[in-house]
Amino acid sequence: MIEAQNLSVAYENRLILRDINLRFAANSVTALVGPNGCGKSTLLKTLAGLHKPQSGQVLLQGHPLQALKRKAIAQKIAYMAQAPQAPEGLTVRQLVEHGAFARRRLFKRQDHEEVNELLAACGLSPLAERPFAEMSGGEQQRAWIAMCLLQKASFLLLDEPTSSLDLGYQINILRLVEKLRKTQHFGVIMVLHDINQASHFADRIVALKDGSVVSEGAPHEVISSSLIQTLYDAEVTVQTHPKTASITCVPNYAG
Amino acid sequence: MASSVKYVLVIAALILTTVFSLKLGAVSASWADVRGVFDTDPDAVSRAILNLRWPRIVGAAVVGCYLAVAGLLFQILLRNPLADPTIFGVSSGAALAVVIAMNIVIALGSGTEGGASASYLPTQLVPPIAMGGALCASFAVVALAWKKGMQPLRLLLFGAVLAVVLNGAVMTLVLSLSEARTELAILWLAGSLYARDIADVLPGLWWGLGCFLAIGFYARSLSALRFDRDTARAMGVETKVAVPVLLLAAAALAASAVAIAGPVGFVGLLVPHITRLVFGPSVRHMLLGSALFGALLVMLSDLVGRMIAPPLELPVGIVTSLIGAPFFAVLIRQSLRKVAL
Repeated sequence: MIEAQNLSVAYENRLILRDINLRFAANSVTALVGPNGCGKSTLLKTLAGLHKPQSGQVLLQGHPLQALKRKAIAQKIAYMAQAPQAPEGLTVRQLVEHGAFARRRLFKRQDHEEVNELLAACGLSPLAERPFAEMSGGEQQRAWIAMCLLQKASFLLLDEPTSSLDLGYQINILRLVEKLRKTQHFGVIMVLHDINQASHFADRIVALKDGSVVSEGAPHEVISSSLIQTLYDAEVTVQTHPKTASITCVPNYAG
Repeated sequence: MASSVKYVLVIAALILTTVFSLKLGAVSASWADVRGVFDTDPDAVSRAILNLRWPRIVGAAVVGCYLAVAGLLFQILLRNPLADPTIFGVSSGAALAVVIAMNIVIALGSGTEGGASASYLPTQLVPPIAMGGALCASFAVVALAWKKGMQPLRLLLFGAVLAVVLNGAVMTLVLSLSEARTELAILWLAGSLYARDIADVLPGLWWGLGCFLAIGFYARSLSALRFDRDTARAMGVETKVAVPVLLLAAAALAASAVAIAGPVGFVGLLVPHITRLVFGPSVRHMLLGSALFGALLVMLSDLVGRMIAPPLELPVGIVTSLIGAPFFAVLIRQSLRKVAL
């Protein structure tokens, strides 16, 4: 359980988040949505302990994050930045192996097998010994996710995991996370730009605007044309997807 | 090729260079004299080789090893592949301290009896003075760049600014020295192993041992720190401890290298890149490989500097720049070609 209590976060004296109270369970998928600059990435970073709150606190299983060592946090929370930077010259396997940093014991044979399993689960086995820098955007994203999962944390925090990808890879990444969740059992908190992806892949949506929570709950409770109007100042028609039955927004381009 | 084979080759090259450094120089020794060095009771010629050349070889190895590892650390921690020990104000701080000391000694000496000869800075005082200057400059850079923690870019910029200011001060002071002493100052500023005594090198070994222990302890953190800071922290790296400790170790290594030989350029910049090409990106190989290649490069450069126009010698810092800079240019062109294809 990650819990934000009366959380306010400032950056250079500018208040980014004000008085956020949220709970995240280790068996749920939460999508953070909202317009650019609403503070959703800052919230994700603060939940990962990478940003210091101005007031309030984040509790990880009841312990304030500020009091925990980075290794202790890493054993519970894996975090993938929006545009993470990889060292020069690593192979895909070498990159993924860095996920084992927070484990107490040294790198052993069974870790090697664990890495192999993860690479296979992420569809990276044939690419394992290839240079990471030569991979496509989607393959690189899968490698980052594999690296995070090697942490064996109970939460996976993803900052816009699909933003830099084409539609095929976007679906591929979100399906991969969904599939991995079934075998590895971890909670997900992710920042998503696409409200329809949030609606399909998350079981809970937290909508933020100007640093405050505007609305939160299950997708079918939360998503409405008025919410989209509030968040993005855009007109949409909300309907049920004919095949998946998830709530879907279709923009009214003609206005 | 397996890494173990590569290590064997580099170590073989180091041994060969050591042997040739003992034999060759202003006066070329015979093989029998070189072998005599290892006797329990060496004869006069062998003892001369041992006293004059051995300290230089050890000094060159230590300086190269320290500068290369310091360069590697700076490149990783400041997240800039062009960072080298000179960028952190280490070289210019050491230079300024030494030149100031020379001026003070001259000012004191001119008033006393004994005149000019007494006004030279004793050589055994140079290393500790250089070390003090180097560390002061590093702390100044950190203090200037500090603003709720350390930002790589700010460190880099303030390092560059301070280096420019200090170098200006060094030049002003050097030009104010009289002609004969200008030469001495310039020899030191060029980075030279001329007339180094083993006593100049020994204190640096203790510093080095401490630094390498710290680096070994944080080697895994160092590997993770090659990612962006947020990713490294999320992996579990205690960046607020690991980064300052490693920066301190790098500055101390660079400072003790500069203390021994003066500012020897290009080793810290160049060697980590050569090492990555030869040994690949694993941090352990990069650390070990940089240490070995750094030692090899400076030992070879010192040998070349002694061989080029005996009995005169080219300061080792000049040789590393003359070999290092063109080599670096070729390296950049090659890697650009690889990227372009």
